[in-house]
Amino acid sequence: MTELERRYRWLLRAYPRAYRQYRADEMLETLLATADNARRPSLREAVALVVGGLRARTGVDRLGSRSALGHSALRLSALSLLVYGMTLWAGGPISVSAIVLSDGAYRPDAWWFIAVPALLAIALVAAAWGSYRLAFAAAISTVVAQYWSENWWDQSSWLWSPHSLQGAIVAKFWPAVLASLALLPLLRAPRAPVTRPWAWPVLASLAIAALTPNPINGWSDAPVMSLYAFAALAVITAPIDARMPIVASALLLAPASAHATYELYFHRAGWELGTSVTTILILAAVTVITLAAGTIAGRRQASM
Amino acid sequence: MREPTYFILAALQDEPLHGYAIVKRAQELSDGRVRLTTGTLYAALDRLTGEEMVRVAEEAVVNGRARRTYELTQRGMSALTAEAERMAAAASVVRNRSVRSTPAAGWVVPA
Repeated sequence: MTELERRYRWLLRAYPRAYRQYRADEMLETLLATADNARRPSLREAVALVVGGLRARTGVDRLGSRSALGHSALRLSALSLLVYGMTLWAGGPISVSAIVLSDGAYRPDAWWFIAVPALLAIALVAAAWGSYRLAFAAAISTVVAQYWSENWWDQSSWLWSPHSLQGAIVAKFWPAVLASLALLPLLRAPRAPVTRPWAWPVLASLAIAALTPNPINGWSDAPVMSLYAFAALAVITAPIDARMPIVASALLLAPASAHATYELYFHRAGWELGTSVTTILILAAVTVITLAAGTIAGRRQASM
Repeated sequence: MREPTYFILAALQDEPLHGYAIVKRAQELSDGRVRLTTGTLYAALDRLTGEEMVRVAEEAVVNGRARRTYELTQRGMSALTAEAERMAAAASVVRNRSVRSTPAAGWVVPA
């Protein structure tokens, strides 16, 4: 085996194993024939192999039409939002267990912190398995549970009132709302076969727990800069998978909506604001730019 | 249809070809403009096979490695012809206009 062949074989490892078993020999034959006695792979060829391999791993090349790409982006957005919601609510069950152990079982306000993550988990598992009706019902139930958890002590405000905005000023209110909106078009979409439904929730939960501000990584009070870095990363990955910027913009909508609600709530109350309008506008602009990058990359990837 | 896809289909219109031959033929037909990388070629072939525009004509083992030869299907030929006609119609808009708008001899073009 020559040095060039060894290097090409190493680059071909970017492709999934099943694809390599079918294609690697044939690709290697073409790579060596086009190499013109070069000793190293050209940069252009190497980049194309890595990008092609990663795209084969994401499965975006198999989606074909623009509508299939759109539905897949919505599915991944819903899954990522539900994982994001679970990371934001992750502290609940642990703290409730500690309270129950120390103070006894009767703490009606504490049980919401178990009910909401449990409903989110049902929505996540159902969406991962492609049961969008159950996922949508669980996500809507989560929104209702979140609303009641903020207003359980005041039955007069169980229907909407200005006070009910109070719960929406924190980011953890929004993932379930946005996931419900993402799942809505999927209720009528033609059902696509779902392969390895566990793969995406696991990968998404790791990525989201690492990259988004949440209690697990201790970034919950981090500056908005971390969100901009998250958006930049999603835009960079757009040539590999156009769905990534779309998913990222859906995730960015959660803190952006929380900031906007915070502004609205305290403006109504006539209080001094802790957030500037500029921050909200920049966050909205970053969300729009990220979404635009995803749309442009999606059109390019969906065209033959 | 994007330019690389068009020239991959065009490369296959006369005879079945294997990967390296497609790269070379597409480069010749496009006057060197389309230089397909191997990654791009096989991603396009996967997609065109999925769309039933291209199919595997023959599988052989050469130098101990699998080599597949690809051929155009009827559907691929129709898509290629339709795209060529679309581009010809688009080109005629410019060509016919340049013929019509050529000033006749003796005309004075106002400054």
